[in-house]
Amino acid sequence: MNLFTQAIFSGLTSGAVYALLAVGLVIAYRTTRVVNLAHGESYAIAGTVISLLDHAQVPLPLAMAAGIAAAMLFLWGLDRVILRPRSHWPVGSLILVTLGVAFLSRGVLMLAAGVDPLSFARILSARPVRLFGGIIARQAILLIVVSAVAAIIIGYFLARTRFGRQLRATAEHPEAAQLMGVNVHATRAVAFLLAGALGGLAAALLVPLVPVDFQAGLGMTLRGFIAAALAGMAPGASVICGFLLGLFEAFVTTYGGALASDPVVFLVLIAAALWRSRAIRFEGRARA
Amino acid sequence: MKRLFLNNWCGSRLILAGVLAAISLSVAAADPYTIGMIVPTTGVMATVGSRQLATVQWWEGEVNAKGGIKGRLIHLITCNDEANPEKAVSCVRDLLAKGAVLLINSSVTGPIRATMPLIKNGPVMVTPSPNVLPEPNTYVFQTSPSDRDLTRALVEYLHKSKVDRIGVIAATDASGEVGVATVKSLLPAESIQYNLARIDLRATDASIQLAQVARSDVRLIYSTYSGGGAATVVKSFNNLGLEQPLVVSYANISDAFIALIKNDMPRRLLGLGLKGVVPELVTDATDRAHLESFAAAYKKFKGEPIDLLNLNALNLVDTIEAILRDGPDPADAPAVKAWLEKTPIRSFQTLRFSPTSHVGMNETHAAILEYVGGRWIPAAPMQ
Amino acid sequence: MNARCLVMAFCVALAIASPWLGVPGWSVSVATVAAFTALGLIGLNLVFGVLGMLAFGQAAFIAIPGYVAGMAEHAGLDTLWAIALGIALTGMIAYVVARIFVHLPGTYFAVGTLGFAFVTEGLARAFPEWTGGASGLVFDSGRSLGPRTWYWLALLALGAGLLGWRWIMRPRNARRLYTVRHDELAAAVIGIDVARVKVALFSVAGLFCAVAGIGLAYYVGVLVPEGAGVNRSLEYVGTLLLGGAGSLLGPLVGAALVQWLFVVSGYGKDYELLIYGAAFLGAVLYARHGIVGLVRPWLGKRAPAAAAHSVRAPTASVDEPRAPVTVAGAELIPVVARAVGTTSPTDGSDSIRPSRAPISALDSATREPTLRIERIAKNFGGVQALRDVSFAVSAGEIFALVGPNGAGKSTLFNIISGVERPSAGQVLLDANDLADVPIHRRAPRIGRAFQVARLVPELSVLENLQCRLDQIEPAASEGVNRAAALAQLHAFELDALADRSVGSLAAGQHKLIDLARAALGSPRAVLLDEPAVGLTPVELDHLRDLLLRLRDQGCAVVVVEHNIDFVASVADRGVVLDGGVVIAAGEFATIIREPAVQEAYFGVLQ
Repeated sequence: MNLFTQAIFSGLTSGAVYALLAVGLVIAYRTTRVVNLAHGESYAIAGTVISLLDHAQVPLPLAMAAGIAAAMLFLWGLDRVILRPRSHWPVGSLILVTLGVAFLSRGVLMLAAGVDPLSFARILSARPVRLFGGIIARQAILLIVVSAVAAIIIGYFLARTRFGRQLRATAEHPEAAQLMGVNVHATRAVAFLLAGALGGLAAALLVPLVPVDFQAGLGMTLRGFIAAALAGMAPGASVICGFLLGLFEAFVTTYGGALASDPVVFLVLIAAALWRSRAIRFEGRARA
Repeated sequence: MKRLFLNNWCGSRLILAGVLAAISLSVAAADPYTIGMIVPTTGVMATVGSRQLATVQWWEGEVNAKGGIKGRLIHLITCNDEANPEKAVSCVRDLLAKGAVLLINSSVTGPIRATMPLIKNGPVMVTPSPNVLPEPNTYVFQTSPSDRDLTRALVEYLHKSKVDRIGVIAATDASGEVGVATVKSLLPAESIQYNLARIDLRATDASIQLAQVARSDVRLIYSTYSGGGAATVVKSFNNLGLEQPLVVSYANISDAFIALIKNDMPRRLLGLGLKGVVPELVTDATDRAHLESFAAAYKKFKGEPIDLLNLNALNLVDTIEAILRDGPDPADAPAVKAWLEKTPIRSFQTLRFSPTSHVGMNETHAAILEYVGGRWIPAAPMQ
Repeated sequence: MNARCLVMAFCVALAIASPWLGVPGWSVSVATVAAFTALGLIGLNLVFGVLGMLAFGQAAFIAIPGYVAGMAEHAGLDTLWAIALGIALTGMIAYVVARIFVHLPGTYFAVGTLGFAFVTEGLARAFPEWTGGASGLVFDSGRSLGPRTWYWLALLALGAGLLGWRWIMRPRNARRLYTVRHDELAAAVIGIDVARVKVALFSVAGLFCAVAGIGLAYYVGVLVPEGAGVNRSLEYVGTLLLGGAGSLLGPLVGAALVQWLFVVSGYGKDYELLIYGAAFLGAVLYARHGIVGLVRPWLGKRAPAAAAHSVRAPTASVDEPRAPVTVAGAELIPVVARAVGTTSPTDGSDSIRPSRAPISALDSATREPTLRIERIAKNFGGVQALRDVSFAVSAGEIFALVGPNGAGKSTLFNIISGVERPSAGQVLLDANDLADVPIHRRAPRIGRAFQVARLVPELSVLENLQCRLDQIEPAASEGVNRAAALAQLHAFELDALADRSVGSLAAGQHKLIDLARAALGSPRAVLLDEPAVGLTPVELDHLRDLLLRLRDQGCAVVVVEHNIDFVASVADRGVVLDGGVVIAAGEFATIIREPAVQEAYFGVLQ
C-alpha cells in the first residue's frame, strides 16, 4: 500500500467532514456573530437518531431523513428559543450559552441512547476501491464528493443569490439590513436550518465509517471551528481549510505518528490564529 | 472592606452548609458488609464499566435475597470515576471514608494504577484489568491473566499458524502503552516480527495506521486498543478491505462491541479471551455448572447474554464472596491478603494467587477465540 | 457591628469545620480537593470572570506546574525546590502565553487558549518517559502528609488566594479592570494600558492556578494528560459559572458544589450529565452571577461587580473640591472647575488664557499650535480614507471638523488618539511627534468623547470619572482623585448623578458624562465626536456653555458635528473634509459658505 496515497485518502475523508461542519458553523456565525459551540451536537443528534431508528428496523432512507430533520430542528430551535431572544447579550455570554446547550444535549443523548457508540449500515457497501496504490471505501468517496458538491452549491448560494447577500448584510449590520427590508429573523432561521442540514448530512455519511456516541458533538465542533477559524470565518475558504486540516492531520499522523499529531496540528492552529487576527484589534464589542 | 469580605463569605457558606445538612441521609443499616466499587459508567470506558456494574449489582441482589453472608447483608457503594485517574483517587478516598471493607476496581489501567498507592495499609482491592500487575507486597489482587500472558496465548496461536510477522495497532492511552511494552519485550524473543502504529483515542479514522502496519507480508493484525473507540479500527479495517484476520483485545470480547461493528465484520474476527467465554472449554464440571447458572441468572436479571466483561465481574464477586464466606474478617487486611495468597478461588475458572504473584490467572486460562455465527468459539489455526 | 462580626466568624468556623459535620459525601478529602480547585478557579475567575476573556485552556496552567515539579523531582531535585520551579515556570509560561495572545480578539483568544491546552495535553502524552504518558505521572512525596495536614494546607492556600483576590480587586484596580472588560478601546483612550493590564492579570491568574495545580498534583498523587486538556478547561469554566463568575465566593461555591455532587452522584448515575448540563445552561441563561448571585438578594447585597468596589474613601467630602489640590506638583483642579474658581494658573504657560478673548482675532500663525496635523494619509487595503490632510488647532480654540459621512472624520480622530496609525504624515502635540506614543500614553494630554458615549454601565458616574483620573494621576490618593472627579461633576452640573449607576441614565446624560470624563485632568486637546447628537434643546445650551468654558481654559477643542447650526454657534475655525481630502479650511463662518463645501456637504445632506 502506498502510504502517501493512503494519507491523502484518509485526509480527504476526515477533511470532508470538517468542511461540512465548518461551513455550517460559519453560516450560523455570520448571521449571529456567535461561535455556536453546540454546532457539533447536530452531528451527534443526527447520528444517534439514525442509528436508533435503524436499530428499530426503520428503512435507512427514512431514518436518514428523520436524523437530518432532527439536526435541523435542533439548531433552528437553538436559535429561535435561546439565541434570538437574547441577541442583545454580549457575544461572550452567548458563546457560553451555546456551550451550555452542548452540555445539556450530551446529557440528553446519553439518557436516550446510552453510553455505547452507535453506528448503522453504509449506503455503499461494495468492496473498497483501489486507486493510485491506495484503498478507499466507496462510502468515503461518496462523503468527499457530497461534501465538495455541497460546498460549491453553498458558495454559489451565498455569492450569487438574494439570500446570500441578505445573509452577509445581516452579519455585517443587522439593524441596517433590517432597514433595507431584509427579514433578519427569517435569514437567521434559514442559516441555522442549513447548518443543521449540513451537520446531519455529515453524520448520515460518516457514522457508518466512524461510530458516534453521546459525547461526539464537542469534538466535532472543535474540528469544524478550527477549520472555520483558519479560514477567518469565511464560508468558501472554510471548505478549503476543512480539507486542508484533514490532509495536514493525516500527513502528520503518517509521518510523525499519532502522538505528534495534536501538538503539531494545534501549534499550527495557534500560529494561524495569530496570523489571521494580526490586523484585527478592538473587534466586536469595542467597535464604535 | 473587611466587613464586606466576611459578609460575602458568611452568606454563601451558610447557605452551602444548610444545603449540605438538609440532604443528610442516614445510611446505618444493621451491620452489613460495605463493599466499595470504582467503576466508569460515563466517559470513554463506559462500555467496560456498565456491564461489570450490572453484574456486581446482580450479585448484591442475589446474596441479599438469600439473607446475606453469615447473616450479614451486602451493602454495595459505587463511585463513577469516568475512567479519570484523579476522580478514581477521590473515589477511593470517599469509599474508604464511607467504611468500605473491600474494594472492587472495575476501571481501566491509568485510574487503577493511580488508586493503588492509596491502599498501602489496606483494604484489599480486586481488579480485572490485565494491564495491572500488582506487586505481591500490596493489597491489590488482579483476577485476569496479565497482558503478557494473554499475548503469550496469541504467540502460541501464531506459532501454530506459522505466522512470523504481524501488524500491531495500539492506542495512545495507558492500555496502549502497556500493549506496546508487552509486544516489544515478548514478540522478538519469540522470533515474531511486528509493525507497530499508534492511534489517538479521539481519532475518527485508523486507515493510515492500518496502511502502515498491514503490508503484504503481514498475515494478521492485532489491535490492543480496548473500549468502544476500538470500533474505529475495525471500521477502518473494513474501509480498507483488508483480508487478514483481525485480533481484538481482551476488553472487546463483548456483545456491545460486536453490536457496534456488526456492519463491518472482518473476514475473520479473533479475540484474546478467556476459556470461560466458551463453556465447552471449561472442563471442570463444577466450574461449568457455575458458569451456566450465572449465564441463566444474568439473562433473567438483565435480559441479555453474558460476555467477557460479565465474566470479569463474576471473577471479582466470586473472590469477594469467598473472602466473606470462608476468609478472615475483611477489616483485617493483612489476614485477608495472607488468606488470598494461599487459597484458590473457585469461579468459572479457578484463580490462584500466591505470596509471589497477585495475578490470579495465567496463559492457561486464556484462549484465542473467533467470532463465528453469532458466538465466540475457539479459533482454528490459520492455513 | 460586633454581633455581625461574631456571626461571620461563626460562619467561617462552620465552613472550616464542615467536613466534620456529618454531611454525607462531604469529607476531609473532598473538601481538600474542593479547596485547591477553588484556588485554581480564582485564577480563572480573574481572566474569565473579571476581564471576560474566553480563557478556554486554563486547565493547562493547573497541570503544567505539577508536571514540571514531578519531572524535576524524578530528575533528583528536592521536593520543595521542584515545587518552586513548577510555580515559577508556570508563571513565566502564563506570561509568555499572555504576551502572544493578548491582542487576539475574543473568538481568536478562545481558539488560541484551546490550542494551547491541546498542545499541552498532547506533549504530556507524547513523551511518556518523562511525563508518565497516558498512565499518568505519579507523585509519592505528598503521601507523607496526613489528610488533616493537607486540609489545613489547602485552607491556607485558599485563604491566601482570597486575600490575593481582594488585593487585586481593590477599588482603583477594579474600576480599571471593569473598564477594560467593558470596552477596550474606551479604556485605552482614557489612559489604560490595556495590553499590560491583560498580560499582568493573566500571568497572576497563572500563578493562582500554579499553586492550586501543585496542591492537586501532590494531594491526588497522579497527573494525567487529560488534566491539561480542553474538556477539563471547559469543566472549570462550567464550575465557575455555576458558582458565580466575577464574585469572590463564586469559585468556592462552584468547586465545593461540583466536588460534592461528584461524590454523591452515585445516587444520580445516568442523570449526572443531564443535571450538570441543565445546571450549566440554567446558570448562563438565568443566573449570570451563578449561585452566589442567586443567594445575594436574600442577604440584601449589591451585585458582585459593584460590591467589589463599593468602598468609599472616608477622607473625601463633597465640599472639598472647590479648593485647589496639589499632589506631586501637579495641579489637580478639574479643568472647568478651575475656570470658574478663584485661583488662576501659575505655570506661566501662554496657552492658558484666563479671559474669554475671541480666538478668531488671534493670528494663529504667530503661535505654536497645540495640535498640529501634518499631511496625514491613511489607506485601508486599497481604499484611501485620508489624503494629505493638514491643519493646526491652537490652545483656546474650538475647531470644527465637518464633512459628509465617510469623509474620514472618525478615522482622523482615531489617528489623533492613537487607535490607528497613519500611512503617512505626523500628529504633533505641543510640537512633539506622537508617532511612537501609544494610545494610553496620549490620554493625559488628549481627551476624547465618543459619538455614542462609551462609559462602563456597571460603574457609577463618579467611578467612571475616577477611572480616568486613576490613569492620568496615578500618584494621587484615592481621596484626592475622588474629590477631583466630584468637582468635575459639579462643574458639569452633574453632581446629582454621582452615585447613580451609568446603566440607569439616559443617552443625553451619557454624552455629558463622557464629555466630563474627556475633559478631566487638564488635557491639552479634547476630541469630541458629534457631541450634539441626541441632546434636547436645553442640553444643547448646556453643551454650548461647557464647550466655551473648556475653550476659555486654554484647551484645544476639536469637534466633529453634523448639526451645522450648533457648530457655527461655537466654532472659531475649521476644515471641511470630503472623500478624505480637505476641501476648505479657515474661519468656520467663511468656509461653510464656499461653493465646493455647499455642494459636497450640504448637497449631500439636503
